[in-house]
Amino acid sequence: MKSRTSELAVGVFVILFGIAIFFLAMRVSGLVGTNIADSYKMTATFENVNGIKPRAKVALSGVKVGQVDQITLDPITRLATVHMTFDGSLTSFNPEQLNQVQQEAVEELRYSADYEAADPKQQKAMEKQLLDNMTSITNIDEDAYIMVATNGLLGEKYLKIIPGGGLNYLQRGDQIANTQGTMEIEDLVTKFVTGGAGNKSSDAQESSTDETAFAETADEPAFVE
Amino acid sequence: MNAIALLGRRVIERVRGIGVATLMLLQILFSVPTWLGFKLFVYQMYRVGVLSLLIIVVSGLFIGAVLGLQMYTILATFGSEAMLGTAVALTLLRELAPVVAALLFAGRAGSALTAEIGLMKATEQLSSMEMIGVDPLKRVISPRLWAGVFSLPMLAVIFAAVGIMGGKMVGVDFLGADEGAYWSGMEASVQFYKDVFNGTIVKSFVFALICTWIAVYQGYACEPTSEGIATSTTRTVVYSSLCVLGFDFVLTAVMFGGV
Repeated sequence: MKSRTSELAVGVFVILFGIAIFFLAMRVSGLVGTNIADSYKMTATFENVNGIKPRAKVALSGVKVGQVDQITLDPITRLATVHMTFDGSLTSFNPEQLNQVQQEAVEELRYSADYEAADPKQQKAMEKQLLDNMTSITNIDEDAYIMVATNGLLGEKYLKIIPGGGLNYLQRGDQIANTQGTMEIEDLVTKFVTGGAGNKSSDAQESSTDETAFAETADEPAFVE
Repeated sequence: MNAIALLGRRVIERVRGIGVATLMLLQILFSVPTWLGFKLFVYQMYRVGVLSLLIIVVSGLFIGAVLGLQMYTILATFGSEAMLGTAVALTLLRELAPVVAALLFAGRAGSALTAEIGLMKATEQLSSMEMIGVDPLKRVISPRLWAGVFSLPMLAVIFAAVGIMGGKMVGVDFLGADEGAYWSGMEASVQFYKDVFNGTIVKSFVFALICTWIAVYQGYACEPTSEGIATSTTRTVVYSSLCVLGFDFVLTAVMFGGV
């Protein structure tokens, strides 16, 4: 009898341990974050991602729409590439909205010079191509930019997406082209003190779409020497 | 001359003690498990683990509550109460849960193990077991050691979980920090592998081995007198506490120092 109660107590103990570790895993370390039903990946290339860690949140208008998976360093451009997972249910249009967006895009196309110059058959093809391109779009437009932001004065760093006003939307898996890296207070102070002499960093802040060209020009002098 | 001889004898005795303890540990670790051994292990698990549960849960709750209180007042000065969850969870998982659980364990279970084994030795139960052909190492020491090694990590995890709840109770429910920020800050900064697995489980596993090893060895090697048992019990608690604190520094430096 004595051994049966002790076995029962040990069983309860083990169950308690199980509950505790489940709590620590799910609630405390947030391992649940990976089971977004409709998820997709996107990347962005930053000049400076100081303070961003894997699992940092990605917010659009303050709402968490995704998280950082990993951060890699491109050996040639020496820029940091941030790989992110987005929640599809928050960053896609529903069918009606998609229809409207597509109509707007087609209308926009009809006013373009190329479209007016083309014959009706080509126009049809252009419209079809446009609509085909829009099958897996997100609600993040091409003019939107993504920046490293801070939660409060001293809080965690996270990525903030600021929508642009464009009619062209990024597709799932695309790269967000417009980025702004971490703003270092020291850099700002240096810039202020030296009267803008340190504007090298502000030029590089916008690592825009032609980053490969930027990298080539940056690399060449080193090889020439 | 006599003093030097005494010193030498002391040193030789200590070194011999370390050797005996290591051989004992190796003999237990590399012995074949048996069904009877498992049953004894379960019973010891009850005595070492389950009976320590109450003190672990209560101290976990209060330590979490104090952490919540202190951290809240400090963080509120900088207007960053949102970091409360992060601070409480990381402090508990990385340091307080393994260390405090091990210290309590050494006091609650380690001393009891030493006293029990020591009394067995003083009343010559261990020698009589040897006489009838039962290996006291297998019958008495091994189940106790294994029970200690397995139960302390479990206790530490429970300690951490209860502590986080205690911190939430004081910080969020009493003092009014934001509950969403408490949990989300925690989720954003605690990594399961690094903090929960490495910080709590691996650390307390090492502490468990040290504490129980010291406890069973001190009992096994104690002088078979009532005074000897008292000395051994004291030594268990003192040595275990010192070793836990020392190893904690080493382990923290290895796990979190080089980041």
